Amino acid sequence: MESLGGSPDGRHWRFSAPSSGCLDGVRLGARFFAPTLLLAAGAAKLMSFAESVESGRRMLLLVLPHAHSWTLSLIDQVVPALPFVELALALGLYLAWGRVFRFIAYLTLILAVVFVSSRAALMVRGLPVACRCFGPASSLPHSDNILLLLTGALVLAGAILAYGGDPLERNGVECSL
Amino acid sequence: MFSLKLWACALPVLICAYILVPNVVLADSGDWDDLEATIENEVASTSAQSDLLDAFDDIQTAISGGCEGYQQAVIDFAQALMDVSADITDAEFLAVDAAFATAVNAETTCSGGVADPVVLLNDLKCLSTGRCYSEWPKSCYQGHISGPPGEEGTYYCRQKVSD
Repeated sequence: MESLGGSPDGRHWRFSAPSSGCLDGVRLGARFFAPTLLLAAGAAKLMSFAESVESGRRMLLLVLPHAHSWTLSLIDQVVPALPFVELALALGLYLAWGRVFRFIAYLTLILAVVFVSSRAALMVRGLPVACRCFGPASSLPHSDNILLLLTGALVLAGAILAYGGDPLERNGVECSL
Repeated sequence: MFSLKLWACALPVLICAYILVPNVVLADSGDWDDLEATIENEVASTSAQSDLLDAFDDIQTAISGGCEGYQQAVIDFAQALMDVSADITDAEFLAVDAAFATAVNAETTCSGGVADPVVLLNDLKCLSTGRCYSEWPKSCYQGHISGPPGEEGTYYCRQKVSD
């Protein structure tokens, strides 16, 4: 990380903080973890599309006990599109940069927050609703717990990328200076 | 710019609260006494009230008897509610259904192995929105207890769908 410090340039001083190497590593991990998980989730949902849609709709209906009719209509529209949204977000996280990347990371964060909150709400109410988020793999033992763990990590990754920016781009900027 | 950043940070938290808070409230509210009171106060028809209270007593008996037959008693209450649905108003039905769903959901003593809250709340949702979903199980429209398409539990729905 020596190349990151030692310059009077303001940007260099910013990146030469003691823990920046570690943070960059975390961001870099998040940079590849988030789209890979979204890709897996989207592809798995497409493989068992009908089941996934029904499960997703049921889950959202249950966790929005006082939802208005327009919200329910929105659920009808959004849930079938979810696998495609996930794949698009994954693609965006792999390929985009700059503000577009951060915006996509932010959308990923929102999606993950909705999911984690929904699962938590179901747990609070003790409702045993199966999640078909990863298609047939969702039926494996402890899959719900693993899924919750992965999605919790996705929330973290989304937050890191949305609020911290693209690690690859920053490195690129540093290397070019 | 600051307010945009503020909103960007606040939005995930707000979404989380929007989803979690009503569910936490729902999980902590309502019990069987509320259901009994609702039946007694809301249902005008004496015969319907009597049928529902009989089914309610069966649930209470199952709970006090170590939960044996609890799930069946819950299903029987749902069946009783469907049976009297033609004799009571939509508002009465909805009030009892809501109290029932909440009570089952709040039940902790006999909650093990009971998947019905999912069903009851599904049905409550179905009613409160005034329509059923197109993908709803056909059994829901037919208004009888039947096996579920998935593992969530047993479905029931009122006979009269208000759509």
